[in-house]
Amino acid sequence: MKALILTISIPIGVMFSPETLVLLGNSAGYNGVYFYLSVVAAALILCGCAFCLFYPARDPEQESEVSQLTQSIGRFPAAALVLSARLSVTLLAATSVLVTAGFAFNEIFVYWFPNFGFAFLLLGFILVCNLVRTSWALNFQALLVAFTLLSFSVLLFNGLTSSPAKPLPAQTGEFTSLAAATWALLLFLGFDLIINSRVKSKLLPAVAAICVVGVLFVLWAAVSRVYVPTASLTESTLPHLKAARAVLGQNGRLLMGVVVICGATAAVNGLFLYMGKTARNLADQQVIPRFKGERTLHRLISILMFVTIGVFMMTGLAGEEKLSLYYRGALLLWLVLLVFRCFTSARLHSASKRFSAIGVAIGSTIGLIAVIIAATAEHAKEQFIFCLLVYIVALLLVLIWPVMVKSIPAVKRHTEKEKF
Amino acid sequence: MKQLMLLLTLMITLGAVSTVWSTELIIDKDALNDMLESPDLVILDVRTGKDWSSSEFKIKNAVRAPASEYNDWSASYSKDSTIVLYCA
Repeated sequence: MKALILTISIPIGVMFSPETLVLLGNSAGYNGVYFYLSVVAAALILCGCAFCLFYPARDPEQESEVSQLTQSIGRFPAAALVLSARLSVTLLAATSVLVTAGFAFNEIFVYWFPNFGFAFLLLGFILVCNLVRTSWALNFQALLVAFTLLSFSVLLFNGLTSSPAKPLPAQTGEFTSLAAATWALLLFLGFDLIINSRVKSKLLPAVAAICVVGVLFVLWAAVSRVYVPTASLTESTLPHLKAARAVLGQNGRLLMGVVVICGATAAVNGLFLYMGKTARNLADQQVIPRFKGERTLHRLISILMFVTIGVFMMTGLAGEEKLSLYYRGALLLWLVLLVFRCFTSARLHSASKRFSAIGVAIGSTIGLIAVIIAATAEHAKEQFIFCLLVYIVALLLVLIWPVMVKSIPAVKRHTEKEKF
Repeated sequence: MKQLMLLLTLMITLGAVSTVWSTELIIDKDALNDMLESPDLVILDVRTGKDWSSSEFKIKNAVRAPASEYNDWSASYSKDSTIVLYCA
């Protein structure tokens, strides 16, 4: 049970990031009652995706996403795809959500405390946890998710059991477009970040995370629509805070502040933990050096990410309008990764025609949704160029080490020694 | 020692100048609150990106005017208006 809780805390933490809460509130206002249908459809598609990714694992330890994809598209393209999707989301999401957490702390809890100072404190704390022990970071993750879910549930319970002092006029909502409905898929990104090998099946925690978060999100959307006018939900940059204040006043703000801060920290910590695992998988494919074992590699990757995120924050990336554009681009790369993983899984298990067909159908559906999201984005061309550039940079990065191993004799000797 | 004294004097001068400068240009929230009804008042919110979207505090009727687009919007306001820039 403990292993399951620790495992599920990473996907739930990532799904409860403040960015997702904003998307949830805006979508609930934008799509009206049709929003619920889109959430249910997205949850079903991603449960199917989890089935394709995790169900048929012959040897869960060997079947990492990098090794699976390598069998299908080759070592370097696979490594570059995984690195570009995982690293870009981690760096951009961390920059974005930590700054949001900083603002929440400054505006809701301690007015005199600088928001950037708090964002750096959180980042530093996450780094320390990941440097000391992975188990610390994992326990910290579970604690953060517990606080997030508890605060969110209290708000939800109050919202469901009471009614607004001044009832809003009837709001039917409109089905604005198919493009807006596809956003629902982004609410559940994170379900595939399953790293604890002590659980027997990775399918159960992934599906459980989607179901738990799906139910909470649908209920929150319903509460938000009862307490806040839909137009206001759509236009707001902080619809969750608006709804929380409408439900419980100042106490609602405080509770949502806890959700935002703990959710942001859990999202970044979860992504740090998963990047550690991704680095190990990339080292197994010999596209990055091992650095004296898994522990050292995790520490080194954590330090590198800390420095990069710190530079992003200090250079004012959070204040750039383009951050959200890049972040959406990174999420698109994540969707592309899921598409390739579904197709790979279908190909690797082609003996079972039914499974293979499910894999192709789910992969195609996610691919189609990714194309709709990309094509209807505000700066579609810029976003596409960003995704392409990130992939090219990742490809160059994964090519450097193997070339060094081949061409520099001392590096080659060292690598061979490490293998034994 | 002379260089150190010169540097110290320069720093104190710069600090004093910036203090005088800032007292002339910064308006506190109470003073702004008193002016909110004035027809000549224009409040420009120059925050961008997450600095703007993550903040719950947005002044009613403030116009968003990114600092990077200063050349585009600066000409559209009369020099006789009281323009307040809000950045944090």
